[in-house]
Amino acid sequence: MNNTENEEINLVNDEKAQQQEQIRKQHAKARESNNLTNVITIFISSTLAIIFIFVVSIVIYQKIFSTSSKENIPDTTTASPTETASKDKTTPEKKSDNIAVIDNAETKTTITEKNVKTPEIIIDDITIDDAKNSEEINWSIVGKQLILLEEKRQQIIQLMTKKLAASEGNN
Amino acid sequence: MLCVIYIISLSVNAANDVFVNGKYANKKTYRNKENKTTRLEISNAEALEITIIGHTEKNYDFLTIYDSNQIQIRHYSGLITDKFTVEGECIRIHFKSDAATVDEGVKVEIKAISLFHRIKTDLHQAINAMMQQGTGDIYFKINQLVDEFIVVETQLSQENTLLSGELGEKAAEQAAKIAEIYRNIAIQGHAIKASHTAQFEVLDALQHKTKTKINRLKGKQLKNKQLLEDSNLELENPNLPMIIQKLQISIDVTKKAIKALEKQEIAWKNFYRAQLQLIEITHDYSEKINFLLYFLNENSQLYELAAKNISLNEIELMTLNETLIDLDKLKSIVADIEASESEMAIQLLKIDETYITP
Repeated sequence: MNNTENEEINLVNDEKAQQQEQIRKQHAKARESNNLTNVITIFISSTLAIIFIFVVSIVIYQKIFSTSSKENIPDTTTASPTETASKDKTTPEKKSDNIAVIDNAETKTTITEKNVKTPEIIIDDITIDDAKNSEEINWSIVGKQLILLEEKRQQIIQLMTKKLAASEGNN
Repeated sequence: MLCVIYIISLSVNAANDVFVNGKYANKKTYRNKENKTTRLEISNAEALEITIIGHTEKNYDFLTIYDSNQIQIRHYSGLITDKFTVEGECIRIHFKSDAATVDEGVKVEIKAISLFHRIKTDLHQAINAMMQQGTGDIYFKINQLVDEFIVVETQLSQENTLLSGELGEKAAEQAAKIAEIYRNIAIQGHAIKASHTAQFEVLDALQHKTKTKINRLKGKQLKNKQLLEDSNLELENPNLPMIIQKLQISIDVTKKAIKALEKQEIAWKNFYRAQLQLIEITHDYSEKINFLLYFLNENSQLYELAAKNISLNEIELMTLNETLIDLDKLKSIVADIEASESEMAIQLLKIDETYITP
């Protein structure tokens, strides 16, 4: 009798233990699920926060510091003679008021999309120099002035010839 | 949150199209030891028109401009006023001041222009450079001599101002001055020729750009025609009604695109032909300028000889007008040059009136 009772009690205890184990497992699963949700939420919010900070930094950089960036000049450029002069104020170079120094002239022989840029430098260089002196004087204007000069010269010679002839006559 | 990010991103993409410092940035001057690099950009621009004004301490503070390939295209110091165009959608500006003395500052502005407009602008610049190269100083010197001659003419028309003996001396002096001017003009021959050669290279390069554009348009047309063919073939296969509708829309759009590209090609081809004519006229013009320089060089020697002869014998004055420069020939050369300049101006006007259909 006692043995039977003990067995029954043991069975009940086993059943209870199994139920408890099941509940424990369910709780653990729920916890795991909660943890995963939390991780995803934290990840998303921190990513958004980082993007936000990044974008705001770029805006601030663009708006406030864009004109005072300390980037280096690319290696392709070299200091021109005029720039070198700035280091030594005791020997300033004689330069025109408007300097347009072109250092990186490329070859003009190969016709490629890149190389066709070179000649335009020459145009601008010439126009800058000319603009200071010429005031849009072209060769036909110079030619007309030459004609005027020659006409004046001829008139003068005619007057001189007359004077000379008169003087010869008097003598 | 995403909306905020989007709006902020839009403001980041906004083009920065002006660089200012000193008085242009509402300050009195720029600062000493400034070392700024700024990128100016207009998205999707074929070319940029750059306008620069300002003043920096001459020879010590510098403004340098680089193109989109990081190639230095301009370097300024002192008084700056310039306007030019570059290809691409961006430029880089570097402003550097030394440790002492500042000035008012600079302003650099960019404006998007089309490749078509840029080629037109460059054509104008090349032609103007060719017409004006070597004229400034010469014109000033000729004017001075004309003024001197007017004074002498007035003196001669008065009684007893110049007497026999003085006349020969004066005539010799004038002949020597003319000889000098003609020689000065002729001396510039090499520089003028070199400048003309440079401008011809520019014109050739612009023509090449035009040709490249035409080829690109042709390529686009071919691509669209292939697309049209594919869509038509696809339409012949049994398809769902929705897919058939989509294909028909695609065919319509492609046909319109091909028409638009054909119109553009025609306009660019007209532009190309106008450039060819202009180049032909400029070569002719260059020859005429060379001939004028040759003519003046020959006559400078004649004047030198005349000056010596009159100095030796005043009576030589009597035959001087027959032996010196052939004025009719000079007039004819100048008229030829003027005709070429008019032709160039007309051709440029034709080019200006060429337009690209949208």
